[in-house]
Amino acid sequence: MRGQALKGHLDLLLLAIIAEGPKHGYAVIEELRIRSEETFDLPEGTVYPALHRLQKAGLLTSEWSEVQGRRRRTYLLTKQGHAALSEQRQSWEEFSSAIKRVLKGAPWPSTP
Amino acid sequence: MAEYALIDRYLGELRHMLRRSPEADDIVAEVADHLLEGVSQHRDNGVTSLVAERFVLTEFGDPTLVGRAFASSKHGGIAVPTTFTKRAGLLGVASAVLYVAASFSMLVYNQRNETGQSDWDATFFGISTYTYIAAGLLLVALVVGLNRRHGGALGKQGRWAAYVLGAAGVTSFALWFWAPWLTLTLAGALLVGSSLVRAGLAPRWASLAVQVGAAIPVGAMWVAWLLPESTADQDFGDDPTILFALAGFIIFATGIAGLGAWLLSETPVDEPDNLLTV
Repeated sequence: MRGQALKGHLDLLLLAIIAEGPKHGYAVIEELRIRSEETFDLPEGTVYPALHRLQKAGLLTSEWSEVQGRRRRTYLLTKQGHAALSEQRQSWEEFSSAIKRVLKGAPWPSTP
Repeated sequence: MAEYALIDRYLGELRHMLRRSPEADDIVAEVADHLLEGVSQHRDNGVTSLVAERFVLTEFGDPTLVGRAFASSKHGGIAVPTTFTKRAGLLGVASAVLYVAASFSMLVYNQRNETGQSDWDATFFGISTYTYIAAGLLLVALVVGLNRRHGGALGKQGRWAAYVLGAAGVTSFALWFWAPWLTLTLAGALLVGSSLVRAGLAPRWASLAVQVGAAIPVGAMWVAWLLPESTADQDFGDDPTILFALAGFIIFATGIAGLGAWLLSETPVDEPDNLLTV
């Protein structure tokens, strides 16, 4: 998907995926790709800076573990992240409903 | 991890890009985990190691671009070109042109003044003054753009560079009083130039040219002041110091133009049709 269309919504998508349970970066990207039916097939290297940014903003936290002999960082949503997610989710619902209403058009014959 | 030579090489390049980041080890470890996980998934689907490596590296993106994207500030800025940084680059190129024009105007003023064509004094002096002010203010816009381009990573030093260069621009109202604005210009140039060299993203030659170029007029000024016997009754702004100043400003302007052209040449990520880098 073209960046401009997704720009501004990536945070919401990342928070929503991680809200369902702790995930490492690869799993987050895979989940995003699969659940969007490959519509959101992002350049993978650009998702990590977004995760780091969300962590710096206090919306995510991370833990390190060792898996198959290598270090793995797993992201979790913070309390602040949960609050931000519900706020963003609500504004997205309002926004998308408004767009749908406009696209659907006025019933014919429309009132003046 | 000798089994995966391509991934090793990729991580080496990424580590080099992030060499000044305190988080380099963690980022490289995280990327390594991602790439190896990807290879493992592809191999499970019957793909050979080499093909799997190539595939995951292509999917992940060029290490230079990824390294730059990771150069985020504590404020959360991501180091990518945007339409803002591109516009700042254009203003930077304009600033460079104005610095050269103002310096040539100053040279003309100086020559006319020596030959007693005083009618021209005010005109050329005025042109120089206002052109230096405009150049200085446009330079501030370039510095702001450069800081944005680095995701805010120029930090306090970058902000101070903008303040000091802004002060230099305003101080050039008093063009005849060379010391304050030339010194402020040099201070701002050293602040922004050294922070750019340290960040390692912008063209190094341009960052150095800005610093060296700004130092030459200040050097010439001090030579004129501190060694009066060597310059007889010359003051700064008279020959030959004006020629040194002109040479310095040309080098300074070349550096500014180089930085501006760099910002201008990049493809903004926030333009339609460009891939997301947030």
